[in-house]
Amino acid sequence: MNNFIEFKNVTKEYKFGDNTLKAANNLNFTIDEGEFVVILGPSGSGKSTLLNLLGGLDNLTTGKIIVDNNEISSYNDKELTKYRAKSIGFIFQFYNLIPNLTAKENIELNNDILDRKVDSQKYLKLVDMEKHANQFPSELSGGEQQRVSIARALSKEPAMLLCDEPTGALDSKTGYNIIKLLSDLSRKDNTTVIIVTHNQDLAEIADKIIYLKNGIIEAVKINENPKQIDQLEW
Amino acid sequence: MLFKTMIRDFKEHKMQFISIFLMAFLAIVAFSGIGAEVAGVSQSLTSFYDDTNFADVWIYSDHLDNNTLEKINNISSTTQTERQLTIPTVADMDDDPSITLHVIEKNTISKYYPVDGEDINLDDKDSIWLDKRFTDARGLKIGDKIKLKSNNITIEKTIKGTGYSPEYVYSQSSKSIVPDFNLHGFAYMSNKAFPIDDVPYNVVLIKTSDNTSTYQEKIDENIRANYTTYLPRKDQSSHVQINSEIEQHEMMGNMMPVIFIVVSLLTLLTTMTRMVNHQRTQIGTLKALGFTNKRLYIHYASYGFMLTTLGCILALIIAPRTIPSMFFPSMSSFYTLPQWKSGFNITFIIVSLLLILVSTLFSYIATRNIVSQSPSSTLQPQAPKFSSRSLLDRTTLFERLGFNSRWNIRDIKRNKLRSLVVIVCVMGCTILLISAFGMDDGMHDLSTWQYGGINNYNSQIVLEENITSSQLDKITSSVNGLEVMSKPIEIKVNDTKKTVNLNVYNKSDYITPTDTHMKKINLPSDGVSLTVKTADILGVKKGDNIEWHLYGDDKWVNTTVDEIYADPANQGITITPSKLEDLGFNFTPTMIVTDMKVNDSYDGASSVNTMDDLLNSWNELMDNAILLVAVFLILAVCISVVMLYSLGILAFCEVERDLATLKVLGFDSKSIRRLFLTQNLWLSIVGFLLGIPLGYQVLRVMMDTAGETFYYPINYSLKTIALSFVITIVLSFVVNFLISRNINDVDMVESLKKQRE
Repeated sequence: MNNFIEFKNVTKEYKFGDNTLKAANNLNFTIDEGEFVVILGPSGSGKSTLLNLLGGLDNLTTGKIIVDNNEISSYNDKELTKYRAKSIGFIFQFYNLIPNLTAKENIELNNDILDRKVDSQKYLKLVDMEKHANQFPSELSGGEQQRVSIARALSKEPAMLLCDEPTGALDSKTGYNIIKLLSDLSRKDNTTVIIVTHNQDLAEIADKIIYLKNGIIEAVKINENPKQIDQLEW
Repeated sequence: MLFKTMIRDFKEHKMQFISIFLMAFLAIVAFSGIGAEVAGVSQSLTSFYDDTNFADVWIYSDHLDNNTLEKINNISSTTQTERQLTIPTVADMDDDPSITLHVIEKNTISKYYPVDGEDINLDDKDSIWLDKRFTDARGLKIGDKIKLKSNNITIEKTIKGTGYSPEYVYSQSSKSIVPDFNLHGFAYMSNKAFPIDDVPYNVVLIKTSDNTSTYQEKIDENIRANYTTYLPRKDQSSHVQINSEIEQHEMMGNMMPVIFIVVSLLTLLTTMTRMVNHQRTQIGTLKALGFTNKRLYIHYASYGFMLTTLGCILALIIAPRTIPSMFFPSMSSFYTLPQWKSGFNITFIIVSLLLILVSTLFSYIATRNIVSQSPSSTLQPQAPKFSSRSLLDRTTLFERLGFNSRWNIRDIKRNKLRSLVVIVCVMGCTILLISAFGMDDGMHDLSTWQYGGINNYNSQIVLEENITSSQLDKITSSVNGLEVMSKPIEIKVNDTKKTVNLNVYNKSDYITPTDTHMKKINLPSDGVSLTVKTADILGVKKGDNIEWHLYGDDKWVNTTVDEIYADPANQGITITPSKLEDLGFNFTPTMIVTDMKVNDSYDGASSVNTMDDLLNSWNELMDNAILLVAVFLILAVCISVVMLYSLGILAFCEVERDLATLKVLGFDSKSIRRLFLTQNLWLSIVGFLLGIPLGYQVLRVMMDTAGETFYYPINYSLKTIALSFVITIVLSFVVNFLISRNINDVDMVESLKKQRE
């Protein structure tokens, strides 16, 4: 589906006393269904703000965000919560697993918000973590925790995966494996994957790259022939 | 799944959550345990009164002929009457026990309550029914004979049964200040068994449908000239004593839980606030995953809900089954009831539900701040607390303070809630300690004040009612003693009436009245002196007027209060014999006190009490109070250890990162430990100082409800304060010292990697 996601003149301001900071300034772009998108920019460029707005974690100041023909920017808190529960799979830089739940239980957490039971074993297997089902996050390495986090996001069968620096806290080899996993998902299952990162190399494998700086879109580049992940020099 | 995280959170913060649970548990244990005792005793008392048709009013008169009785019966609100002859007698046994003999016509009001042997048979001329407490204490059996002497009558009867009477739930002889069932009791006998055919009845027991003061007006209208004393149930000494005891327990049961509830709620608030802060990003993650705020509120509110519900349910199951039976042995050594059982009151459930509700609310409040934020901001670590230089920081004094003091002042400022909770916990502990030691002090003071301070004699010779003046003179001169008259009187001020004692004696070294500071004072020889306790109850002061009359004499006199004095156990009026005679009464001594050790028996004397006897019965009373002191002490120590430990751990976790930084910078463990201990010591001292006046306030309330007989002066005692201080500070120090040992184990690298919470 074309224009699955559409940002129209999106601005987000933060007020600190008398000062106003424009973290996102008049953003306009579209993303098609099943696209593998990388959002690039230095720290403070507004990458995370963009992701938060798209993920329904924050409200914009002006503009419109349309996802799958629904204007999510007009949603109230309750609708946003439902949107997050049904449509979004989040993957965070620091994995954000619930520390006192095991790997399996972290996935089964979704049972509490979905109307169905998720097959935790299936998703653990998908990320090659089935042997670690009963381990707590503190017993897992960073890469392993991020795999569980991806399994947790996937188990919701979301319309899109939003990944905020998913490899930021990982060594390069583990990071590579995680990106490979995400890109395979996008290619095979037609899942929209949006990755926020400052790792320039990822641009080469993305379908679309959005360059951000100081809250403004510097450029949107479409890769006609994205490289395969194993062609990357990591 | 969220339930699992809760259970694991409980495990992780077990000290804090156990203490919240424990405080809620103890609050309901104290409330429902003591409440069950109060309800049980009240219910037993009520059913005892109902079973025995306990009288509403007693009218004493010297001439209760049929005519007077008929007049009483003709009053429309009189529902039932019964005449009795009630006389003091002395049993012909060792130590001359006194037995109050009731010669009865019908046994329909204030009925004898049979326990062993047969019930009263009004046609039986040879038998007597005795006080079971007395026969048990004396080892008397059914079928034994007992000989009672009163003035010139001697009665010897066979014991047919033993039992209780609603008029003697509490009874105390003149010989001791606490009930001693060896020395006194009661007996019931048919009028047909009385040696004189025409029984000189002296009291009518009445049941009325009116309230007792309205009824008194009707009695006054009809038989004013024919009676001496009108005694409504609310003034009956046994009834008054048991009810004031119940009231005292009730007050204790209401007051103690307050400390636990406050401490429990404050700990809940601090623990939850800290835990929620700690789980900030976790809350953000859950929100990002799509959990609603409502779900998260319910999740966190259920922490307080679960813990207090569990604590309350356990307490409600355990306390009413165990706490009352801890009271009953000491209660039954003073009071007599057919059964001692635990009772139930709907307030147990209501208070538990309220506590659960408030705890849930507190958990919610602690969570609200973070859960209500937007998911994106909760995913970020909390911005560091804003610090600015306050006025205090700018003073030169602050500039001169060492690093230790500055660090601690700022830390307290940044963690106001936690610091406040530590102070409140220490206050709670101090209140309990001050009450416990203060009570103990009071008991000891009273003993030395009563025996040694006021009463300086060795023996007390109790005289028979009909002693002749020559017999009296003979005893007085042979023991070189002081003649004392001690009789009950009724005092009236405005519309308040109280039954107290009239004490009549000349100034002597045997009995030396004192003021409220236990200093000896001289009472005016031609004036009327009133005890401070009675004066307080009646709301009179020196110079005011009071009206009073002797029981058994309907002549009221109006006198001025010329002096106020203090007595620990004997409340009422003291005057000299000459003043008594001036007021138009006869001086009829009831005892002679002397510093000789009297062993002989004299004609006209019914018994002799030595100072040792009196002290023994006093010590018995003390033993019971010491139990209460011990309970308070144990509770105080429990609160301190549990709360200080859990709060200490909390404080430690909060500053762990700072302590690690100091360690990295090169501070040695000892000085870091001192840093940590200083703050707790400060807070403990503040809590202690604030707790002292509150502790004394609680003590005062407790002593005030100890009944109208006892007067405890409450003075700030250095010993009490010092002991409480040592216990509080030592506990605080030891607990925090143990926690501060963790400083040695602080992993500098790991601690520094942690986010600031």
